[in-house]
Amino acid sequence: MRRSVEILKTDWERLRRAYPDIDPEQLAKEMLVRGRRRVQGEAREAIPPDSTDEERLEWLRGWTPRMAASMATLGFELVRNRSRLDKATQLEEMTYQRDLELKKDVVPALKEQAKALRKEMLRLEAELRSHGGDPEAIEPRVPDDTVVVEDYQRPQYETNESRRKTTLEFFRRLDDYKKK
Amino acid sequence: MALEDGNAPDDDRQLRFVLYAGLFDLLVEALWDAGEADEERQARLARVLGRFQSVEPTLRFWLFHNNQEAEGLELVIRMRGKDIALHQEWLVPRLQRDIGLYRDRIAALTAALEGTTP
Repeated sequence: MRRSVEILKTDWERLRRAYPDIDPEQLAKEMLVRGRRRVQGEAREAIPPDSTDEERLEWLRGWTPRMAASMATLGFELVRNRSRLDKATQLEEMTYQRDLELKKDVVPALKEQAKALRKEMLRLEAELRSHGGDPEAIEPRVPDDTVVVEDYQRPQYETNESRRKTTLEFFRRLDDYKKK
Repeated sequence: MALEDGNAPDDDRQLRFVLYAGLFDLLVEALWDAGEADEERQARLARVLGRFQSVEPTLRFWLFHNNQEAEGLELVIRMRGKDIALHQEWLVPRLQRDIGLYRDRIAALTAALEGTTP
């Protein structure tokens, strides 16, 4: 069975530089064989301080690749996560712009247009009534499920300038109040 | 990296860890061979291990931080996406339909009024 797995290019290139004469495929096989051997059994994360130099060296030889592998795996996750974060940041910005466009421009313009047309329609109905006509007899009629727009007010969005003016106004009033 | 092996771990993260353990085993061996005496080897390996140990908290922090941030943003995207879909797929077409209806009725009412005016 052929499996594919990603590792960081910089890590792979570092290994290739250390073993330039070995065929890449052979090197990959060797990585797997050695990796299996290295992660077998329980890891000793520390060595007693009274250990001999030979024991310490043996421990370093065994523990360093395992610790390095753990860090490299974290590093790989971090790199992959960074691209996930970049993608999410980009998508968040896109949805923010679209949401703002809909709520600030598209929907308010349509609602204002619908409100004005509805007002005109009601005015004409009233006028027809005053002339003895029956608006109910006129087709097409408007169904009951229209969007309610009679009291619609376009939302006011704050700008830095408007906030600055409001703040200045507040302190001016406060100052006037203190003087009194 | 492609591997021909039926006994490799199924989970990609586990397999990656095993491969990295092998990769660093080979690198440590190269370092080992480059050393002339055990004291030198011990000093080099201790230095390498120290470096890895010193970056561990930073790596873990950034991994946690970026994960949290990405998850938070993805949640916002999902929620905002629903809102956008509601506006795009329902509210905007409904308002456009209403505007068409009002226009047609205004035209009909105007015509009726013109008929009643002498």
